[in-house]
Amino acid sequence: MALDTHQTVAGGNGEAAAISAKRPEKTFIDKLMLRPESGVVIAAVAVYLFFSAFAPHFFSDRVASNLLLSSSTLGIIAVGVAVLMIAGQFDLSVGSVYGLSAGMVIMGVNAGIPAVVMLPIILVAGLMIGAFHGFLVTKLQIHSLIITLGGLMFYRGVLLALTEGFPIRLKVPDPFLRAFDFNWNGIPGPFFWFLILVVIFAFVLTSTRFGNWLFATGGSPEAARGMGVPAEGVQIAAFALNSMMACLAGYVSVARFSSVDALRGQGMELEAVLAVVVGGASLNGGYGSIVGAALGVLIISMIQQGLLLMGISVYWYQAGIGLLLIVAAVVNQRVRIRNGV
Amino acid sequence: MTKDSISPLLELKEITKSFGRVHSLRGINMDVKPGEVLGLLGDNGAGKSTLIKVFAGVHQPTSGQIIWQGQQTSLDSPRAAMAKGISVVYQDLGIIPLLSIYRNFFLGREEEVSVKLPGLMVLKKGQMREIARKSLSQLGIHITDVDLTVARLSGGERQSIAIARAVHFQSKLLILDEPTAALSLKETAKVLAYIQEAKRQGVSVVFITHNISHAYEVCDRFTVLYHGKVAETTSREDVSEQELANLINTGTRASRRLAV
Repeated sequence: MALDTHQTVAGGNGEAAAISAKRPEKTFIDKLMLRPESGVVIAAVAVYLFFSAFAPHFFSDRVASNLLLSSSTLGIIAVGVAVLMIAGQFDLSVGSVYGLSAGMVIMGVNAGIPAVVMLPIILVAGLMIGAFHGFLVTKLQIHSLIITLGGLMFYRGVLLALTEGFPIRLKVPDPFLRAFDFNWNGIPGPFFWFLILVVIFAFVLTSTRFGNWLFATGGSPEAARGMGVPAEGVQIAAFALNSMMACLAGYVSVARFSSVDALRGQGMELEAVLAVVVGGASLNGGYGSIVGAALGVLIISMIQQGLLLMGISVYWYQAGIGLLLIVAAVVNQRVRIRNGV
Repeated sequence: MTKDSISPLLELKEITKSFGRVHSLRGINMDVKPGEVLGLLGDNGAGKSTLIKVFAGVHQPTSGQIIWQGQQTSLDSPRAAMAKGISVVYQDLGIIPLLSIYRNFFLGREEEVSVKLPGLMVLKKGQMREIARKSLSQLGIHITDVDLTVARLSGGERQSIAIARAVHFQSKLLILDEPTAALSLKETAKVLAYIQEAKRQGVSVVFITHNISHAYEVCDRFTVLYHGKVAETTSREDVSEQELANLINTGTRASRRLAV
């Protein structure tokens, strides 16, 4: 890209005005391809068409409803993971935090705390857990992988210890929780929360100062700091939001299933990372999109449901998802190189 | 000599900075006058980088005084320096490559182009693009597509955005750290032109470099650092390029054969 600038200047009078005036105009296709989610949109359509053709009943309401439901919890978590990854960090503890949060909500409600009160409690707890992770990572300069790997073990361990490994369930149904789990024309309630969060966070990331700071911090923390962005604060906030989303996902799952087993959410941290990367985000930070992450989640759910409908053993699901990640990573990298990123 | 009568914009008095037993700055006395381009020269290790960080509010001096527009002051943080009107453009760190031009332009200064909601600042993106485009063209840079990511720009273009930014936000003092390093000849010429344009618009510029001919082309005065001290401060009329080279290498104007 830099080359053509030099060449065009060579013929002119060498004035500053010549800079980039001769840059080739972008076509509509170029503009579309510039977006981080361009690859995942194509992938989502391809996966959808594939299963529409080969998986029986893929179009049925029940399947669609199932698909949306199964993507909701992972989706809510993935939104938080996307925010954090764009800020240049990542969190292996979200699966455990999600499970523990569901466990805490059930135990809290069983102990007589109304579910309405449990919601803010669990969200604030999530914020605090995340802020604590963020504090350790930014202020003490310990790699986020280490801190959140510790978190993965710790929160899972606490949940296992509290439940002694047995599933626990709500003793009495709670009206607030039940209202949380509605179904509107076959679209399950949890999917609405997912959708609302996607809209909110997509807006925050692209159109607010905080969003600008997130991308800047993930792109280059030192440069951002030099330009007056409180980079540590931004990363701590991203950690906090990320854990809060995991806790919210836990709450929503209790509303849906009224129970939790000690292994709920195991492996979800990696599925969320997978969805976000498939959605076009860069593990190095500073690049990515919420809408892309959401589509990544939908692709995962489609593969899950689609393989099931085709009568292929569930064990192949994991293999398929793994392959998807590798293909997506390669494609996304080509897109990024093409865009000079 | 009329210039000496103008009171300086920024004055450093006996600034020292030590990192443990390493004394990077050993009593720096220098000043920057309004509307001038001051060349800050020195070999690697002369203390240029440390001095920039003092200007930028990144490092606090161990001792000495900073006088800003006649008032003794301290620059506790990059934000504090920025608030006073000091903009620093670092060699590689002036800009975020993955962000678009207009987002880089307003980074850290989004207040003026935002709708303030409680707890949230919503960016007026149309206005941001418009202002960025206009300020760039005022400096003679015509980039119509300010949505381009900076990663797609050349080194000279990146510097130009940082300079346009400083001019737009009415910085009084613009500090450029090696802005012409790693640039082609054509791009260097452009960046030097931007520096002069910034000066014409009333911004004082401190131009840090170890390329004497680049400095000689645009600077009104030179301050040469040598081993953490100021070897000499001189105006361009009173010094030749060769003498500047000697000052950088040996700390004196006389040419001394280095025992290498």
